[in-house]
Amino acid sequence: MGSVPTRRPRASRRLLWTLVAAGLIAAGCGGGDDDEAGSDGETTGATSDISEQGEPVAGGSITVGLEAETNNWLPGTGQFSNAGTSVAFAIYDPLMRRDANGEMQPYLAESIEPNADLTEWTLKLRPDITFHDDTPLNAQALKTIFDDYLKADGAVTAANLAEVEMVIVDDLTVTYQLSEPNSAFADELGLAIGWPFSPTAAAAAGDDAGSRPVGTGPFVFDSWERDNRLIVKKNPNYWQEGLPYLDEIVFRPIPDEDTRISSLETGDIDVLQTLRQSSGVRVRDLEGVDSYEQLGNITGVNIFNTTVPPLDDVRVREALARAVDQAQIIEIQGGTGVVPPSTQVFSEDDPYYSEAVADAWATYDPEAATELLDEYINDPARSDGKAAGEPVTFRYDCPPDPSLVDMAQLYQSFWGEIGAEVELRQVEQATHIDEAISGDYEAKCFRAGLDRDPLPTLEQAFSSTSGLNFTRFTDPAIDENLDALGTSTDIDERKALVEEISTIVNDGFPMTYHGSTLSVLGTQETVKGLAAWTFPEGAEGSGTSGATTMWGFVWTTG
Amino acid sequence: MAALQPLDDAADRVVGLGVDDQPLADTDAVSVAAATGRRGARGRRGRKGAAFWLAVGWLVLVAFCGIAATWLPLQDPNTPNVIARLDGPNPDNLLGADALGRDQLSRIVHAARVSVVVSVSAVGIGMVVGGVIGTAVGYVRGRTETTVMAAVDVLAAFPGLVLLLVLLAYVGRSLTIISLVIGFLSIPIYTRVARANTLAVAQREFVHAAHTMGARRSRILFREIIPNVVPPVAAFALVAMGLVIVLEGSLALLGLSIEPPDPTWGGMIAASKPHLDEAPHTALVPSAAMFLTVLSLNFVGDTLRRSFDVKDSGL
Amino acid sequence: MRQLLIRLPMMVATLLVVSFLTFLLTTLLKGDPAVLILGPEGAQDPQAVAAVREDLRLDDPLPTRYVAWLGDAVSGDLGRSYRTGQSVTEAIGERLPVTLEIGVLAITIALAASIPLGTLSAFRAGGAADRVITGTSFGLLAVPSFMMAILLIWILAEWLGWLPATGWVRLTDDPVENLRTAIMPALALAIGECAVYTRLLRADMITTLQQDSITMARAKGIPTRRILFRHALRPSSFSLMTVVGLQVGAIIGGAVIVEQLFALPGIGRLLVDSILQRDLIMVQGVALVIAISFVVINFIVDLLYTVLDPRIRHGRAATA
Repeated sequence: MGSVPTRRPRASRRLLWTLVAAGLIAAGCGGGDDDEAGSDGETTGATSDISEQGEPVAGGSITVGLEAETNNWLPGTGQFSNAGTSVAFAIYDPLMRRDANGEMQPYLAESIEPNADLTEWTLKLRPDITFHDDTPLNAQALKTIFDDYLKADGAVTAANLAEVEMVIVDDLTVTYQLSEPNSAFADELGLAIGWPFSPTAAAAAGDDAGSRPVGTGPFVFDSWERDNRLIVKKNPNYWQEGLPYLDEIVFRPIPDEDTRISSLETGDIDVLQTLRQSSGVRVRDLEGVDSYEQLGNITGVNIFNTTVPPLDDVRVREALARAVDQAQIIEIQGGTGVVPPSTQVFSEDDPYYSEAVADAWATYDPEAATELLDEYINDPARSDGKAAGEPVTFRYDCPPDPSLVDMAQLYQSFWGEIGAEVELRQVEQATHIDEAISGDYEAKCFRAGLDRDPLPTLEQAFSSTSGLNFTRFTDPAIDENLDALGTSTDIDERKALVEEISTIVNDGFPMTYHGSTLSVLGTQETVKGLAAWTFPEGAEGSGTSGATTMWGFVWTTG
Repeated sequence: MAALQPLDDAADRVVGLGVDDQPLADTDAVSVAAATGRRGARGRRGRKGAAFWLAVGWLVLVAFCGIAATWLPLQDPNTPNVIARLDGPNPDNLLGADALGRDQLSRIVHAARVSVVVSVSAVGIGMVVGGVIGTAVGYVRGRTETTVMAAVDVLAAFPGLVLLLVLLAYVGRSLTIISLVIGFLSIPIYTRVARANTLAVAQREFVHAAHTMGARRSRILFREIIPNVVPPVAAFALVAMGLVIVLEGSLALLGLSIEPPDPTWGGMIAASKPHLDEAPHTALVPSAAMFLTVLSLNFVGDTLRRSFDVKDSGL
Repeated sequence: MRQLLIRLPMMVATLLVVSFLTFLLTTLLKGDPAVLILGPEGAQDPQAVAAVREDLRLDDPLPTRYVAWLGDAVSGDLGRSYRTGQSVTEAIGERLPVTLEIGVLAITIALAASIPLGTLSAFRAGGAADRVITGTSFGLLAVPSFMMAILLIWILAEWLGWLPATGWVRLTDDPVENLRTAIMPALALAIGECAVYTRLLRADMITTLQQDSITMARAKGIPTRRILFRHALRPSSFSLMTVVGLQVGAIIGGAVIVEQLFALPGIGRLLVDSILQRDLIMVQGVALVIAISFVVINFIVDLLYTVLDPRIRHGRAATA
């Protein structure tokens, strides 16, 4: 964790940190930040502006405002976004979590070891841990969860685990047996698959298990009014000595960005979660509010359906990429000075970020873009079957969020400048995703990346066998590199493989980028310790990555 | 949706209670006394105050903008100019600029087109279809009336909001769809208004007199009834236009109005919400346009309604 | 009683038609419920999708599905939400009280303000007070509830800090907090209503005040206040009360935007979210409940209307 000098006025009386999700590439990132910071007093990239922390105190209750409600809380049926994951870490403990260096480390688990060819992962549990209903957490519990819930018909997780079996070794040990090598399997166990819940409680609750979650976490589920509030109370028998500090947390979904910020301003809520850069900037400027920012490996992108004319022609896609000034897109999103332009899925703070890929990415060049597009337009054999000389037309879909609507209009204008006629369409999230899966679209605004290991991230997005390859962009070389990535644990080798994949992807222009996603937790100054969590063995955690935290470590002085 | 259901109470306000054929005592004792059919309406026109003509003037201006926006010497309403983002009023942008740096004056003028088209066509559909049905069954009466009004009741019980949202989500958000759906949903209200007024007119002396003199039913309908039913229905339609404009605003806030970049007042208000603190003019300008228009429609509609009112007078 | 016998089959028929149309309508919506249930990752497995579709009987013909749904609905089972797995009946049971409370509170506030204002306005018709009241109500009528909501949050929550901007505390949990969370959304709805009520009452009151009985009372020297509130208010408030009754049915519609802006867990928000997220079975259930309340309230209002006012009974008999 590096401390970056800053010229913000409040710096003198505040500790100002740059929290980095994964190892920082000092040459590439640190230096650049300082230069840009000088111009207008703002720091580019994620900064955290945090008051004196002091010593933890026990007791008190806080209210957390989230950007979305979660459909239900049972791993296997629940669909956990960042907001849902945040709540889950109060009730459940993840078997694995990412540490300050970006490595997956055991959290609820005691250890995890793969075999030599990465097809068998042996997981050991800590002894004497029980769920909130006193059911013991042991190998049998994990097996029941795995077989009866995570792999059940209709489970959200079933497709991911289709090729995985679990075998009990002893009372506290299980092995996950994979049908092919997967160097990033530990990564899965940081997600809902790796959040053990009491199988006895779930069986007893039947259809309602999703609304009465029972985990091993620092807080015990108390009550849930959908779309209003979920209350958790201190777990007096928590397995980590001395935790949690708080007596109670109230989670409130407030989907409207503006009202959520007002609620933090007026003190209705103590903590706010957001993934919108414009909201992040507004939170930064609030008096008496601490803000924790992180740039994750999620970036705003436009995805092009590479199987549908005219976007099946790489000249059109490259023209569209070169027609856009990313700085202006970030400006109207309110992210200037906060969000650096992106050139790949991985943010500048990530170990898999590649300078070479960044340098090779198409720069803003409207003339070159017009030329490329004209070449297509005047091509008698153009793929959309129109006569040479007729303008290129396509539809661009985006969800109806005000900041995205603004962005879509700016894109339309950029693309209009080079002669592409773009029809805008606002489309609800559910349809948006549905159409991306079925390929029933031309261009869409989306987020790319998963804030996870590059293997699942890239495999999902660009493997020829992935059902979530929305752009339909495939290349045998990508598949080969992905296979190699699955069998490699050497970081340098993996970086090289990822770089190769990113290069092939960027040369094909299946998507264009518009700035990394900034994840932000804003808190009243009285709420402390959001970035302070550690692993049971003492290793430093990944702070507030993805706008989540480990709630057991949070305390309040208010 | 805020305005869909209230269309109902607007109807109630106009026909007194709307539920049935008994119009109740109306708003202004003075106007009731003065309103005695067609001649009475004409006679009152001279006494309308300055406020009335101001309101009419504003509506004419809005209608003119709606028709002529493209030919007015204004900046392009849809071309972003990021440098001018959220600028306050200045010589380049007399009413300031929005989040994409587009001229707000030009945008509210162009947005008038959407408001005019949606409100005129939605109200037109409802008024013509509902008005014809209502007048016909109100005059013919009997079994036809019972059947038709039952069907109208079913349509009225249909949760219009569900229909509107589902159609917008399914078919897409075009101006045509929005106008058609709102128009269709408002048919029951116009049917009731027209029927109530027809019933009232049908009992007045000059209709009875025509009957006694042996006039044909169709002649009575076209010469005596319809001319007396149209004015109050039209006055109601003006008030309803205001409600349609508000409804567009509600849809815009839910992200369900017409597709950008074409401006609408509701869309501009929705887009201004994140910038209320730093650039309140982005919210004030479209809100003021919508407020003044709805106010004028209500005022003109109400004034006309009072002068046309046929209720109580001849019974 | 005769009324009820005539109207009941009609009401049932209306509900059947409405529910079938909604059923038909929701099947138009794009988006496979199976994908919704499984999520983007889970939906990659075609077998899983087929299993879910089978389970929900999605591949059965439409009439079969409708009859099955209707059969369950009659016994109070509206199915389970595709999105959350929650029982639809339970979800509606949770949300309806919120919307109703906001609505009832809004109407109460509107009445509390409009009765004195309307009376004063009618009593001094044409005077300065009347002009101010009439003008203001005209102005307020032109302010959409969403504008009012944004304005109220800005003034009462952000600027003055008197009330919480968002949130909902149930009446049973903490009545005081409940009132604090309910008052702003109720106000946003009430202000427009208040304008309508004031104008209605003023009109009726002016008519009443011209009647002989009032002139008589005045001649007898009964104090003005007593004349206004004891003698004139009752006969003048009839149309007001009927509109208020009808208004209860309009609340669900009117609350949609307000619930969205104030982040309230009401029925309107449930409906919009369910439509946008393609939770068709929930849309079905909510639409049915809205239709039922509309039909029932309409019926009650009609009934009261005939029972309470002799003029109407007489009028009906004459025209029927």
